[in-house]
Amino acid sequence: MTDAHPITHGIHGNHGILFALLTLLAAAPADALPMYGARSGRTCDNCHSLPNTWYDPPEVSRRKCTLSCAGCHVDPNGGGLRTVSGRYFGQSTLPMYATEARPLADRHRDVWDLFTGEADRPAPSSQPLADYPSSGPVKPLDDHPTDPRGPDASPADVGWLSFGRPLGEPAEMAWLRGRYGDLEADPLLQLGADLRFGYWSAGPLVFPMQLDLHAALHPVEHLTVAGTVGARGRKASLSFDPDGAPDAEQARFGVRDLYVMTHEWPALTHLRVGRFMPAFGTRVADHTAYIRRPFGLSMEDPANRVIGVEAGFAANYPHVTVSAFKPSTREAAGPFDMGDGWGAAVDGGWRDLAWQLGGSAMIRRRPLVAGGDTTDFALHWAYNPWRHFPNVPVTYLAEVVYGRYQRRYSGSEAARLAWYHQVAWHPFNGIVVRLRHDSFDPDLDLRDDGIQRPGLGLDLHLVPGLTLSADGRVGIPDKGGIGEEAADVFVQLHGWF
Amino acid sequence: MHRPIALTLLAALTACGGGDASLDELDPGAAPAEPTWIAHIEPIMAFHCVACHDPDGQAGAQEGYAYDTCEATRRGWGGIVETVFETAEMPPGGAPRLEAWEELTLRRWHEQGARCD
Repeated sequence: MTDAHPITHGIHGNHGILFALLTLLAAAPADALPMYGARSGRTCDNCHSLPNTWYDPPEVSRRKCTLSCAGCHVDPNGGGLRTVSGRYFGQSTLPMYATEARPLADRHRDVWDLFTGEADRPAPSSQPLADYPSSGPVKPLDDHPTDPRGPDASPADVGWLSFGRPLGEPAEMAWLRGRYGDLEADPLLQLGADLRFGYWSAGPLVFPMQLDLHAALHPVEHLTVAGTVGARGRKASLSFDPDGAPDAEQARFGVRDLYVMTHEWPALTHLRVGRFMPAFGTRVADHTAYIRRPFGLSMEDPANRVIGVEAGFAANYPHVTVSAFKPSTREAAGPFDMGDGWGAAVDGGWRDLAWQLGGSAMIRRRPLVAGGDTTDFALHWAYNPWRHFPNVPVTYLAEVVYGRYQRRYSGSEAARLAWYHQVAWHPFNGIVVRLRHDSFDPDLDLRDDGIQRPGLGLDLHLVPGLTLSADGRVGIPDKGGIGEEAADVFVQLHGWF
Repeated sequence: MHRPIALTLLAALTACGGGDASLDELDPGAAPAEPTWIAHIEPIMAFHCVACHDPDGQAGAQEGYAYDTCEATRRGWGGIVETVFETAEMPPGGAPRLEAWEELTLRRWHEQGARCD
């Protein structure tokens, strides 16, 4: 047992400012990431370029098609470095101005069509669509039209910091060059970054939130070593030197993830060992979401990472991931320093083209000082009517989490409950209007300790790699109701590649 | 009066529990019996308050309320009681509110003389 605040355990004084900023202010509004998966089943060319017609296509179990996080992220559980499919999605489907060929279903959804009256013009792509016919005779692979530069063309013209090719024959799951437009289909080395800069009206504060640098080395088929190092944000600057000046001690620059993974097996099966976030529930980017932070699932908190082994698959359409682990700690000197206790998690479900339904469970057995014993269950679901109704570009996702935990100091058992709902409307390419509500009751036995948090948000994916988001929220505690300070606005500029 | 279906559905989809006890009544050991500034109160204030109510921060000591030191917290105790305990409008907006054990810790600290050790 400890006398320290659980969040700031092991830190004192000004260190707390960091955590306050990270957890109170950094309500990253770009929480539509699982939404991308939920809405992407409407058309195949969200994630890769044409052709729509395949010659001798792989068996279903050997395709890369999935609506799970693994489709777009190197980390099978989502977040961080994007796969080539994720990069293609970020350059073709996501932004207002695309640098790869638009999905055919999105060609006439650009906002500037309202002003130019050119609703029938081709997509604003760096590549003429004529090079990527949407239909036509099936041709043998050697004579396939998908790479206009020819079969001996050099790797990607638009590398986005991807280099080379793995040793050996081309990977079965990245077999067709040109499948992702100008992006290299199967790079040896990928680099990436996420940088967030935030403004919070209630402070008011302007501050850097996050700088994450990603790398994935893919020397041969089925093997990847991936990692992320990150600087934690604070109100004045990013910190890179944990041993530097007192101000720098507010933040850490350290390893978030580091693992060795064998993957690209049938049904997108993977096995990895190392430091990672276990799969549980919906991994929204807003680490203050009540379905994440109170349950020890915030991506921002290094103590939420685990060191362990994980196996899973993410086929079309079932998915299951299981993990067993030791917890990390906030005081860890190295990425593989483990705390006391152990845990296990399982997440599974069905991610279909228009709907998703899944469940998760996680147990942790730790000393009370490290968070105590917890047992959590989640049910998460999504519905994407856009799949069936092109004029209804709306996507809905939700989750409810119930957990049992030990109260601080006494160790007595208690229960908590959190809900999350989000409806996203995509009126034009690159523009998302979000209606959101989350709620939390931290102790079901206590009166007046819950809170409701409705909100309205706007995402502008301006160009590939740059997103501007704004969120207005209203905190409505059971005790007190809507007060004078109930509303706040959070604005975030997110650079990513 | 019949509640509209939409509101009924919304209530069902956001429903949380609703116990009827305070933490002090239910589990008094869930907060430190004799909280001190250094070990208990300062971390709570740093986490929930000091990001804004800090004279050296971008926001400064807004409206005279600073909670970065023990003395300042003692001076601003009335503001904590009103805006945190009674109306719960602080921390503002969508920021997490104090948990029950944190509020109980603060109350006990003040009741026991608000010592700064």
